[in-house]
Amino acid sequence: MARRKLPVPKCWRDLARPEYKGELMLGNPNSSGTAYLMLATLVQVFGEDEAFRFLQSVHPNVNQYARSGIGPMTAVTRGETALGSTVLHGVINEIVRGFPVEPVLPCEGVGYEVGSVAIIKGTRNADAARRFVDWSLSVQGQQVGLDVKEYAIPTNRAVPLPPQVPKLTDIKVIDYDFAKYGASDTRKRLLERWERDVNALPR
Amino acid sequence: MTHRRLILAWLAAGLGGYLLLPWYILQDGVLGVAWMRDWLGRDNASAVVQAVRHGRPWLAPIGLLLLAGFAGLVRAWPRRMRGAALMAVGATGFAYFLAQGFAIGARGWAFDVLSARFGELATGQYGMGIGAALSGAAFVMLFAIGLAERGAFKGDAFVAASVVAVAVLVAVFTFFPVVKILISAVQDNEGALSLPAFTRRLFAEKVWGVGCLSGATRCGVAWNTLLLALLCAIGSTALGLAFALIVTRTRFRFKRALRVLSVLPIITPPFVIGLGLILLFGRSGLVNQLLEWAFGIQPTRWIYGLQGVLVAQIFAFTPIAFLVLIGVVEGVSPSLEEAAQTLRANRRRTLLDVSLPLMRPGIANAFLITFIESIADFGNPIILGGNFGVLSTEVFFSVVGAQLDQGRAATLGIILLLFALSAFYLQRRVIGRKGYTALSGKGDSGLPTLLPDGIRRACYAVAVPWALLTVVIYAMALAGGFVETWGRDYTLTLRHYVKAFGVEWGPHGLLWTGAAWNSFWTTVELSAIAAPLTAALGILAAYLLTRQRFLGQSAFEFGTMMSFAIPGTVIGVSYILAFNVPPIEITGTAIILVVCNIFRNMPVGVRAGMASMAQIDRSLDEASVTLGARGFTVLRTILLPLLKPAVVAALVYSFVRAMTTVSAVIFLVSAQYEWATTYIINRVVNGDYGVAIAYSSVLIVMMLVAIVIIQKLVGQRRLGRRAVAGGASAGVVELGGSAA
Repeated sequence: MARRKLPVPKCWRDLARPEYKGELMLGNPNSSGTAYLMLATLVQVFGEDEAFRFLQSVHPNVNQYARSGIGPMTAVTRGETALGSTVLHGVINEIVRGFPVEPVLPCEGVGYEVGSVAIIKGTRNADAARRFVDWSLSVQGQQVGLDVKEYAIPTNRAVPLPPQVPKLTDIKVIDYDFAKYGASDTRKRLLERWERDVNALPR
Repeated sequence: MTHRRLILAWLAAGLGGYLLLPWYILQDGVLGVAWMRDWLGRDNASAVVQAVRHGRPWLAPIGLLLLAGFAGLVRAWPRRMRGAALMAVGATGFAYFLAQGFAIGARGWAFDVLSARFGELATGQYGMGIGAALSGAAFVMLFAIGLAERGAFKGDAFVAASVVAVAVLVAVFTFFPVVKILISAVQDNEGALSLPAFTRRLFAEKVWGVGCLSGATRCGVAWNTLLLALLCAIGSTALGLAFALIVTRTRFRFKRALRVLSVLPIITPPFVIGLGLILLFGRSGLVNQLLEWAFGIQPTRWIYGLQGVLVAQIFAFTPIAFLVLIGVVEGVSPSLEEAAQTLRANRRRTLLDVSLPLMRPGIANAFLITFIESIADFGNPIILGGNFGVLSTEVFFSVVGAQLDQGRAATLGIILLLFALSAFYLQRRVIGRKGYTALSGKGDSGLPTLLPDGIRRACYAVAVPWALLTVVIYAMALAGGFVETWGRDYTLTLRHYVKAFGVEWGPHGLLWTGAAWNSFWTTVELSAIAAPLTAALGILAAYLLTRQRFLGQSAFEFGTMMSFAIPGTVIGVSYILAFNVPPIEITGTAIILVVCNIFRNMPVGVRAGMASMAQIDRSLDEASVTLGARGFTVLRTILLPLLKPAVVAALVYSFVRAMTTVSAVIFLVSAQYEWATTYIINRVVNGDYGVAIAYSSVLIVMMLVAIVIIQKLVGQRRLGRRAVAGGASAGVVELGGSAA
């Protein structure tokens, strides 16, 4: 960023500025859940039509729609692109590893997702499975992620947070509608529209 | 000759599996002794105990059918009748064996129709285990022996058993999963049959669009795939041929170095070349940084796309073309070339009119194999593809990503399969029906002709720069393992190696503290199990295809070759679909990793064996048969010694491929059985390049060592040819190590 003398963006809207041409990497929501999370967030922040208009205006700046959610992050750390969109803890992980990267939480608001764990119906080892799920929800279980330097925010509030993990209260988090945007017909419709209205356009 | 002892042995095996061994697969594996402590329990009991004590009476008929197999031993009956009895018992037994396995799953009847008809079952059954495997194998073998008793396969039980066994294995581990995934191609995502959904997916704009010709952004992925494969096959075959000619027909001084170099990309985990290319040509790569520093040229991202993938694939697949070609180039009989020269053909004419036509099967094979490798390749497009999508990556993202569209994945898989099969068919047409026998039983002593000067220079001009570039890319990629953080802090360090492969001396002996040891040992162990099985199965199938004639041979060939044409991603998904539920419930075990590797890599063994056997004159086996040898003896004493290069090639290739595979195993690994490559990929995804590169370097070195060991163990094919004129090295030495 410094070398190309680019200003640091503050909001989603900033990404459409012409000086970022070819410097922004987003995820492809067809393959990346993270990228779909971003798409759904934008739809909830701006409203659907406005969100797609915004994505169209950003499209000329995008150098690649990466296949994985973490793809833009590794590209930024390697210097392959200046800006990328990913999940917050991915950025923190890189900062802790010593890369000169910086997270920007867009001023319009950000979405979120909750990691999950499930037991398969009819399993041969139901008791062991239940014990594992109990453990993974416990303070002790959730501490493991932090111990191996994965700085996602634990769902168990009793887990003591290291300074690297941002406090949810400091972030403008939107009220993400999991029921609606997790449903497969909403997802399918948004993905098809993204493919038609955004990805198919020339850059 | 009858096969009494053989029949008895298989009946004993089948009954042993039925009466004594655990019928179902054990959660902790059958190799431990834990199951013996509770050998009558619900999980561990043999079939007969399951039928009597644990409410699984449907297992009882299997025992009765096994007993019926003793009809094959009745001396009073004529031989053909015993054969018919064996076939009937084998076929009925195996059919019932499969039927009960598929009909009754973990929670009772597997199909609603059955529970409606017969009422709910009180208990279900788990996946089949060692006992079931033995009984099933016994039925299959009784059937095969019955065939031989009735005079099929010239009454040779070995040939009959081999054909039937290979056919059944291929059916279970290649066809069954593919059928499973194809079914999901014609289903909509709720599981109901839907033809419109299938056609819509098949002819989608994203697959077949030709927009790029008229100025739009992209063409369909199908066209992308074909274009890439074509360019890659041409490039790799030409380079491979140049290398093979240099190694066999010039006095080039660094032949050994060339051989080692050409092996390197094969023993490299797939993404290392991509990573090296990025470090070299990427936006922050050395070349771009240099250009920017020297000329102020803005770094571009040209490496991401068709160009980058193509370069990486040619690096990756030229060695495969080389391995296929070297055996054939060496096999061209020098005496034919000497004959041509006696008739006053110059060296150029000899090469073009005699040697090259004789190499045609090899060239066609190399082209076919690199073409199929390219369309099935997954590692390079996923790292360097950028916005350039090909079918194999689209398949992966259809299943794994946010789309979760199994039907689309299956449909794209079908298109891929069609491409590969077309390539296969074309290759058959090219070779045609001409004979290419060049290694006969008659004494053959001559020297390969040296290349004419013009062609030699052309070969050098192409191969030497390529070789140098390989060195640079490897140097780039491997250097990354010794610096603190690539791209930022270039301080030298051994930290990554310690993190991955640390060893400490604890109070109870050696402690493997490194993070990589677990996946490392798993990978080495399972690859070492898979490699000899792969090679044996491949060479056996090649023998059956080239040296035997039987009904359904072309279907047999199609079956053994098919898994090669299926991209790893499709195999991975289909294995999960097929083997996650009874009767075969092996996901998450070591078995599925071994099996997957065997059946994915077997076609290369088949190809190598067939190409080499095509060069060995049949008069050799005929002489042996005249002296009273039967199928197995001919294979063991005549063909195998002459096939050593092919055996080495098959062993090396299957071991190395197993160690470096990503696309299929990435679906099949579990916490307990993790693969080296998937561990590395996870490190890369997490941006932990240091450990990833350190691990890759260790793998590369280890596989080099393994190749040398395999070569020493198997030994070299010794052909009586004269020593090279004026050279100190004997002809045998030059011939040896052909597959290295």
